[in-house]
Amino acid sequence: MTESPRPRLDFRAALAAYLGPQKGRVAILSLFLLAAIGLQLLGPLILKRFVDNAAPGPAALPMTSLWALAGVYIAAALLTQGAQVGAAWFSEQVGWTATNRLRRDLAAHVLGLDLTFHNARTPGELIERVDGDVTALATFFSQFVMQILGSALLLTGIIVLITLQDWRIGLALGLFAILAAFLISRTTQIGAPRWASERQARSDVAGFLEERLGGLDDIRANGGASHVMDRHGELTVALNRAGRRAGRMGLAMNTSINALYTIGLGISLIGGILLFQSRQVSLGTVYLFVQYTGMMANPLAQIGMQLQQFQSAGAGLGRVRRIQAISTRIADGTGVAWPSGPPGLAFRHVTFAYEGRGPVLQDVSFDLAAGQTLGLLGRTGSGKTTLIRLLFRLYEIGEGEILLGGQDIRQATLAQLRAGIGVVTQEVQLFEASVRENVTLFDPAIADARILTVLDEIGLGPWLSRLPAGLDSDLTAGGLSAGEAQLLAFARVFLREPSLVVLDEASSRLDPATDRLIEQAMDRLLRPDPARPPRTAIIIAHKLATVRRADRILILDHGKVAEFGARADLAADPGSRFSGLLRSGIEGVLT
Amino acid sequence: MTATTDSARAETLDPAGQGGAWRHGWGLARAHPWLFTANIAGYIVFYSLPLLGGLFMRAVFDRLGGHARAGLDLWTLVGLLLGAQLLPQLVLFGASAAWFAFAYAMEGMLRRNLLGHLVAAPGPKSLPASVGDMVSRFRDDALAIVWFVEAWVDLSGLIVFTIVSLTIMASISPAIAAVAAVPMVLIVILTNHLALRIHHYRRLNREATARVTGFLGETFGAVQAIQVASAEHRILSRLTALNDTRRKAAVADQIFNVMLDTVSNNMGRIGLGLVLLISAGALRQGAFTVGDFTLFVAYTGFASVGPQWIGRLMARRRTAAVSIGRMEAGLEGAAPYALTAPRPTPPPIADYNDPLDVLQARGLTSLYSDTRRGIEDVSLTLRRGGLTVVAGEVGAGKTTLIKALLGLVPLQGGEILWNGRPVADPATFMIPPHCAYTAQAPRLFSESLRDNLLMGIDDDGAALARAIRLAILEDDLAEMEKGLETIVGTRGVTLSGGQLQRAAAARMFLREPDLILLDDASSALDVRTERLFWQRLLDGGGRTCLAVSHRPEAYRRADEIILLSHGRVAARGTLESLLETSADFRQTWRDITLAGEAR
Repeated sequence: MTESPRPRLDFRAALAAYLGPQKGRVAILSLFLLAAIGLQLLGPLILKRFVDNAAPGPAALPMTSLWALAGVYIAAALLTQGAQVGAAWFSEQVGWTATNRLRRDLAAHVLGLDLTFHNARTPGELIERVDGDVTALATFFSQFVMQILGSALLLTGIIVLITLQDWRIGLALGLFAILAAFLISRTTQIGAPRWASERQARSDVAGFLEERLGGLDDIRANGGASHVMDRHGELTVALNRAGRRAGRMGLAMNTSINALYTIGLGISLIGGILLFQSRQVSLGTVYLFVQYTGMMANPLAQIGMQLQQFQSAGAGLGRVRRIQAISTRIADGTGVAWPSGPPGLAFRHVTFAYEGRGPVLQDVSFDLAAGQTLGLLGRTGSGKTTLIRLLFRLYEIGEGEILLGGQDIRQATLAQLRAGIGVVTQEVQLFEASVRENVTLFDPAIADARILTVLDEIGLGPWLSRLPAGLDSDLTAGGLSAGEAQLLAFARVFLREPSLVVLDEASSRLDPATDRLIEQAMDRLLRPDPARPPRTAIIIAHKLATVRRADRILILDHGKVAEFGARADLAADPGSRFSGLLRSGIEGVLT
Repeated sequence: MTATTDSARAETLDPAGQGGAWRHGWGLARAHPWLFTANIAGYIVFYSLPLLGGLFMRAVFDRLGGHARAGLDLWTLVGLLLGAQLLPQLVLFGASAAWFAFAYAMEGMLRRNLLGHLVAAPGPKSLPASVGDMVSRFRDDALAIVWFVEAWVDLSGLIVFTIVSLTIMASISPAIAAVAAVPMVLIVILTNHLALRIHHYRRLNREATARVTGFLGETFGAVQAIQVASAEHRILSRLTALNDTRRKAAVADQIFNVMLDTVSNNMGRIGLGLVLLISAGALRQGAFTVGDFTLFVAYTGFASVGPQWIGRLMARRRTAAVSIGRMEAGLEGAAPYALTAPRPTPPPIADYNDPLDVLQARGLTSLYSDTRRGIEDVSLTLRRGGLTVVAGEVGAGKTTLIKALLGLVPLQGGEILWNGRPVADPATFMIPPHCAYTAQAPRLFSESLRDNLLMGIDDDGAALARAIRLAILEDDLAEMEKGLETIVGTRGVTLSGGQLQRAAAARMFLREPDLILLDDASSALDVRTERLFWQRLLDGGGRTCLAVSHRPEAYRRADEIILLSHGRVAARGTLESLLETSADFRQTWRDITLAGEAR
């Protein structure tokens, strides 16, 4: 679980962190880039010679030299092609390698955050964070070197070559280029927040769609279509507005760059004509000035365009950085040495509240000895699920402590803690992947034979045999009923061999026949080897049938312990809540 | 399912599509006539203005070189040249503003039409891909179609430029103009060839991207399960593998795009080299002035842009065709070109003039094609005010039966009769006020609890209070600090399982339907809450209900119990009669009431 400290993500740090490991590729990329630039600079020099030396006169070159010049021009064009494609290939490789690493790091970071973070965000929104924003950054990584640096180099080359012809024009255009670059970078800063709001509006749409598409049946069968379309309309209007505002800003920038370019053209043309009229330069040199100034338009526009991308990359990076800055509230422990065998469990004065809500658990204390099974009862909303989440440290407890095997769970590493506990929840999350990958949760170390044995034991054998490609079948291809999904969740726990088992309303959705399968599986899960002590277990159930196997009973009411004791004692005490529950359960059967 | 295979087949048979992309693009344009016209006009003006710049450049250099032509003096010409340089940018400002308005409008329309169909159109709807993949279709594929139309806009201006520039060059020197035109033809051929390859790599790229986003979506939807199973690093290795595939596809895709861009530029340069080769003689003889030379350089340099956009147009058409296919996979059962229809599918409004007396289903059959599971030949009759409970083991077809009645799954046979009249399309008829539904694992959305319950209904307070009482949600609401204004987390995760079910039930009750369909909706409720739930539901009178349940309370109150087994009706009757006649049912009942016997 311990990750290396994450890089602080400003642009320079991002470049260093993600391009650093690819030094070799970056070097080759630079070579291609320099070649492409040099070849581009050659063109106007050839045109100058043509203008000066093609027309009849004292300076006229022989025709063969003119044809040779034309040949060089064509060859340069061909070489440029090769250099550009080579540069593009390396820059894309560098860019994608870098951003894929960023995607992975970001996904790792997000996966490490606690549920307080996740409950406030839709999966669609997180897709935008981890993929959408990073894709905007991909352009930054792969195009930054290509376009911004390349453009800057090209501009410098142009200024130098003009200066060689006439230093006054060179100086004027040099100053002009610096001014233009300065103005461009200033306008960039104005635009960034607008692109940020465009991206936010886009991710709002994605989050909205993700949720609604996941709940299509609920919407359709309850007549929610027009409401959903109205909301989509509102979000679309918001996106349009944000996008047009951001676009206008980019346009204003573009237009100002080109207005600047017109000034540059004015400088070189008027300056060139004046020098030509005073016979200080040739007509070809005037044309060279015009051509080179013309060549400045492209890199200037490129810088402008890339800065537009840069704006959205900057907005993306800002959001990436904000996510990176969120740290989990759950501090990893240093690790403990648990003895082998089932652990005992104890809650000591545990109090917890979700952010901005009233307390869900208040001063909860109980003891469960090693190898015992706890039956956890209570109305819905009484805090049962929360209690389990705290045990896994999905949330950090407010006050009190939880002891597992005699040690505070905060001392254990999260990996250590969670490896020791297996849970079957009501909601079973499946992946669009093979049956094998779903059962093992992508663990390739688990042998097929073991998976098959477990699936068979749990009663999924007949289901598996119906699938076209066995364990390799795509899970989502076959209709998997809720009960079968539940059994699959059981199989996941079986494979992990935890020392503490939690069944959270595990049997609530199953029909009686599957319930029987589960009961048998549960027997094996709680006591895998009759020769050894059983596993420690917590079972949450509303059905009294499931409670039969509990040694201890804990009844929660509004987050407080309403009753705790040995099942047999509570059942025998006619005044206990538990016996009252048993009676109300039986009552129906008897009448 | 058929839509996916159809579009897949269309793709393999004819990688170029059948002009469908053109018609879709035209549909988008027609829906926004003013924006479209403004864009075309704006870009024609924008691309035509450089023609003037070339003419002024020629005049300036001819004057400097001693070949005076027009009567204007040198500095006026310089002024005009600079003006011709600045003007296009001002035009572009207006044209691009129009483009942004047009582009966002088209994108919104594509999303609206697809979403509208999925939530509102007749017939059962199933997503052709994972939700994450679908989101990418709504996002990336919609944009790909918009970019196709962008190519029309640019190309319309460039065609005007190309024709006029060739005409001007030909009037100066037909031979040199002909040489300048050669690379333009080559660019079209080359780009067309590249575009074919681009189509292939773009599709691979999109598929690889969709796999990454789909996987991320599933991962972030399953964070809790991943964390408790300590599966983070395994999830990340899978992400790394998917990332790698995507990188390869993306690099290939991008390289071909770069080639498309640079090839035309460099072909343009080669064209210019040819002009140099040919014009050298003419310059020497004085038949071709320096001014003419500068005009040819200017026009030839820009002339590659038009053919390049032709190549781009072809590439984007292919990409758009793929994207259209991917979006249309979600438009099963829609009219052709529904994706770009000017009006979306209107939300269904059930014409309510016939309150329920009796609902009959005859011989309902709905089987999943791959597993042959589902229901076969199931009939039932629901009478006003009655409770029918569906029982059966896992995979017996209980949920399918409920969904078949609601029109959420396709029927291969059978019919549904409302008061004796056949229901033509259950999907648009079995909705409020005829019918409402609470799913086995209901979905709520990231909005306030109030918005979730109302889902667009006008709130008169009393109805909301009634629904909340029926769903036994009052106590939970009282405990929430913000009550109905509590923001429900993603998919309702800030609520407990039972609260989620009862909130969904309240959403259903609020619609005051004649018929209520409950798919195991009380499974997460404890015994007391559940008893209260059935009591309030049934004692109000008049509510007709079909429920999947495993709870004794429901069976006891049922007017009829239908026991399903392997998709067929195994037994039916009241609790007493079934206990007498059906051994299967006795077994079921024993399992359910095991709690009692265990004592």
